[in-house]
Amino acid sequence: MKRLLAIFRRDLKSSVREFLLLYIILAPIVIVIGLRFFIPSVNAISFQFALDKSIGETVIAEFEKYGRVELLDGRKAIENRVVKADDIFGVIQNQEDDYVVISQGNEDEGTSTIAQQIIGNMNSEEEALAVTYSDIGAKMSSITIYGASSVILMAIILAGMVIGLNIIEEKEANTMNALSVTPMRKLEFIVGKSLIGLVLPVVEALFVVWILNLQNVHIGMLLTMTLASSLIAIIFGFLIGVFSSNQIAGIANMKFLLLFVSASFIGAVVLPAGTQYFLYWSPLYWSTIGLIKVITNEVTWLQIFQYTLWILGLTILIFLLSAGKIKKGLT
Amino acid sequence: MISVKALYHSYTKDESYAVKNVSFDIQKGEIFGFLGPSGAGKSTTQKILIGLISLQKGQVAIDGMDIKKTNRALFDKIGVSFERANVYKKLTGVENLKFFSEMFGVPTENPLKLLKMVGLEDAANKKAGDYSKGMLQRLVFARSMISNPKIWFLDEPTSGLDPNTTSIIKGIIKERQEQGTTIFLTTHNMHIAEVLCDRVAFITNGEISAIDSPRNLKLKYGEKLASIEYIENAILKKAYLSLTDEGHKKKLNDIISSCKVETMHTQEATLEEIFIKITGKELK
Repeated sequence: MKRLLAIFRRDLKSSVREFLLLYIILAPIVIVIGLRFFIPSVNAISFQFALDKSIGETVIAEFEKYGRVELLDGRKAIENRVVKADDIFGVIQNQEDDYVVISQGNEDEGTSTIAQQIIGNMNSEEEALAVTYSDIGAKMSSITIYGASSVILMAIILAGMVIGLNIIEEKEANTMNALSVTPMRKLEFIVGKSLIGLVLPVVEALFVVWILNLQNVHIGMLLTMTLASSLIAIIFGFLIGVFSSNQIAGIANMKFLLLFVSASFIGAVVLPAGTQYFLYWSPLYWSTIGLIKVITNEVTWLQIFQYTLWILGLTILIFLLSAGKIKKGLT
Repeated sequence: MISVKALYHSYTKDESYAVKNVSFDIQKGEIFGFLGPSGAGKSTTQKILIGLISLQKGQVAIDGMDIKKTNRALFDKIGVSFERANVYKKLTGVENLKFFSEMFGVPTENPLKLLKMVGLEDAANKKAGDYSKGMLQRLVFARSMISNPKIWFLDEPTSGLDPNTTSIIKGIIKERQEQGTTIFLTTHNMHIAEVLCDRVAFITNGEISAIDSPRNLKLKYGEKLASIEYIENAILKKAYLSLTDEGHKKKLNDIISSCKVETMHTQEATLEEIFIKITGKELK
């Protein structure tokens, strides 16, 4: 255990001291922070309204059907509320049937007329214009679902790349020879090198959930999917490491890996359900499906078990096909 | 401590051997020099002894254990100083040593103490990537002592070092020998071998041509010479004359009796000259 942790610590230390590797480690966090700034207006499916207290019970009840209502005292208080960072519309009543909607002006395009439509709907019993509302049952925006799952998948794959680049560093410096004349076993070297490929994705997946405020995600299921998916990334990392003689070659090989990852992710998201069996061979397809369902909280432990079984089965197959090359490459 | 019998190795796995019928024994506390030019088979032999190349044919025992049957714990007793500076460039000198110390299952040396021994105490917290070639060589040398090895393999330990540092390294090697460490020294630097080694083996084309102490080799193959500078007919002349050859002895007497001798020294053949005499090859 002492050796495994020493190898892990060395890899982590070495990685954060090189710009390229540091960037690879931080990229998922940076991307998800960017996503967080972009998501609020999309995610604000529950509308917010600031109504004048004197507006009347009927109007308040009508707005409460469509979103959260804050009752404030007078136009000034409503204007002060509207100028705050979130999307909220103010409504005051000048006289009977004369309402004023107060908006900041920078609200999302699709939501800017919602207060007018509610008022219109309220007064439209006998009028020609009738506005109806419906939703398709979405509890979360597509950007949150696919953004979060793709960033977690990216964190998993990039951790594999960190392993690959660390192995390339060992090869370039010939330090594996120095380690070979210590009591360290080859298995300890492999497991020690793999730790970074398990720890980074777990930490980053938790960051993604935290930054995107995905409170309903089942952490146990998320970690199960992340850890299972990390195994395939670890094998890819070792393959990149043993097949690449230097960093440039390593980066070139990563491009092929990213093609495989992108195809699996896009296929899982875009292809109709009836044709997705074309992707069953890819463990990352099962990772994508699993992660999406974990994020939308539409998955059972039985399904997680099935996806994990697929991932592990395919990973073991890939491992058996590549174990000889990895072993030879590390000698 | 180290026993090698009829060792053969072929990289192409045919009859083209890089090492051919190599046999030698090294006693506890002995410094054994393995000398030869580049490509002679020195590194191949050492790599087999330290397990970097698998044993194809022959018998090798380290500390009484057959290397084919030993486990990794044997490496707790072994230290290896590589010729190539194979260190982690993004770690500092002290971090490099600390990392390797965690690989051993025996009590290890204090990294700072080792760095001080080789004159790297001021660069202990500097990244190895910023070290000069000589500093890297010293770091590799210091690393090889981290587990207090009983058997120490040194591959060109003074390569690229200045005379002062070379002298420090030679001192450390001698000190370790006095503490009972067995040392296998691979080098093509005959001067280092002559000063440090109890016995040396000459290897060329994968075969050992001679094994003995430097003194015995000199006695056996060396020739005592007199180097003399003298003035004859107002011209300064120089001659190397054998002290065993009758003709040379007569000429030396003539010079002494009829010319003005400026300088005169007796000298022995160097180990390098003996190597050339035995193997017919120069050390490069």
